Amino acid sequence: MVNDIKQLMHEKLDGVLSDDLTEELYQHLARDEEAAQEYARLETLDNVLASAPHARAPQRLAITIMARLAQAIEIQAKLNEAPAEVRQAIMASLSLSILSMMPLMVAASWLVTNSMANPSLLVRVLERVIALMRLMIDAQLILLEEIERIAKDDPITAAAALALMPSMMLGLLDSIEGQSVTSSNAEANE
Amino acid sequence: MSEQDATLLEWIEGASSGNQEAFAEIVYSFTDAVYNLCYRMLTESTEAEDATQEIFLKAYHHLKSYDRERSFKTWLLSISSNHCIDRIRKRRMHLVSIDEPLPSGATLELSSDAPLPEELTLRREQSLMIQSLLDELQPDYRAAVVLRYWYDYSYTEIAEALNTTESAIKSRLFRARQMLADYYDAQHAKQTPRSVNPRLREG
Repeated sequence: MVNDIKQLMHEKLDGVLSDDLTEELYQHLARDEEAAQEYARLETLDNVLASAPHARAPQRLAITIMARLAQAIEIQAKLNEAPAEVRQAIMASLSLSILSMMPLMVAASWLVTNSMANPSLLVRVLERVIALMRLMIDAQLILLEEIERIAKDDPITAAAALALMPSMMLGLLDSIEGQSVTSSNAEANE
Repeated sequence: MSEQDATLLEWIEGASSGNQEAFAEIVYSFTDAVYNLCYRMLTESTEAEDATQEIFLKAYHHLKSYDRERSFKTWLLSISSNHCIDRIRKRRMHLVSIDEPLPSGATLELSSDAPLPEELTLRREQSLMIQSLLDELQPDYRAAVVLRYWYDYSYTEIAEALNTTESAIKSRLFRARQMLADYYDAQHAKQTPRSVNPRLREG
C-alpha cells in the first residue's frame, strides 16, 4: 500500500485532513478493497481508544500531595539550618564520588583506544566497559535513593551517609576488580 | 484572558511565592489530569499515585521557571510525561497486570447515570484491554497516544509537551496506531472482514 494513502488515513483519524484530501482518500478506498480494510482496522482501533474513560484519582491523593509537600519544605528548612560544615561535607563527598569515577573513565578510554585494531576484542571491551559503567551508575542511584529516604527523617544523618559514598564506590570497584581477577583465572585454568 | 485563566495565574503567582494554599488550589484542579496520564503510562495504580505526588513536587519547585505565555496544563503534563517516561525506563521488570483492580475510590464512569452491573463489567474489561494495548508501546510512543486520545492534544501541543518536533509526533502516532491495531487484531482474532464505511463503497 502506498505510504501517502496510509498517511492520509492517519491524518483523517486525527481530524487534520482537508476536505479535498478527505474526498481523495474516500475515492481511493472505494477502489481499493485492501486499503478499505486497512482503514476500517485503524478506525476500529481509533474508536476504541477514543471511547476510553479517564482514570480518576483517589479522593485522598490531593491531600497526600500537600502533606508530602509540607514535609519536603520542612526537610529543606532543616537542611538550610544545618551547620556550614555539614553542607561543605555534602559538597565534598559528591565531588569525591565523581572523582572516584575518573580512573575508571581513563582506564576505559585507554582500553578502547588500544583495542581499536582488533574488532572482536573492541566489541568485548566495549561490552565490559558499558556494563561496568552501568553498574556504577545504578549503584550510585540506589545509594542516593537510600540517602534520600534517610533524609526525610534525619537530614544530618543523611549528610553523614553521603560523606561515606566515595568509600562505598571504591569498595564496590575493589570487589568488581576482585571478581574480574577470579573469573580471568578461572578462564585461564580451563 | 478568561476569568478562569486569571484565577489560575493568581494561584501560580501565589504558589511561586511559597503560598501553599495557592498551590493546593492548583493540586486540586489538576490531580485528575495528572493521575490519568500517570495511570495510562504506568498501568499500576499505586505507582501512578506515587508518580503524581512526585510530579506535583517537581512542579512546585520549578514554578518560578514556568513560562506564563504557555498553557499551564501543557507545562504540567509535559513534566508528567517526561517523569513517567523516565520511570518506565528505570524499571527493571515490566510490570503488567491485566487483572489490575480499580484503584480504591477511583471510578472509570463518565456518565452521571448509574450503569448496570453488566455494563460496568464490560467497561472494566474494555479499560483493562486498552491498558494492555498501551503497555505494548515504548514510553515515548505511549505518551504521544495518551496525550492525543485522553487530552485531545494537537500535534503541536503534543510536540511541545514532549519537547520534540511535530513531524516526530506524527510519525510516532502513526506507527503507534499501526502497532496497536495489529495487537488489537491479535487479541480479538477477527475472522470476518470488518464492515467498511458504506460511503467508501460509493462509486
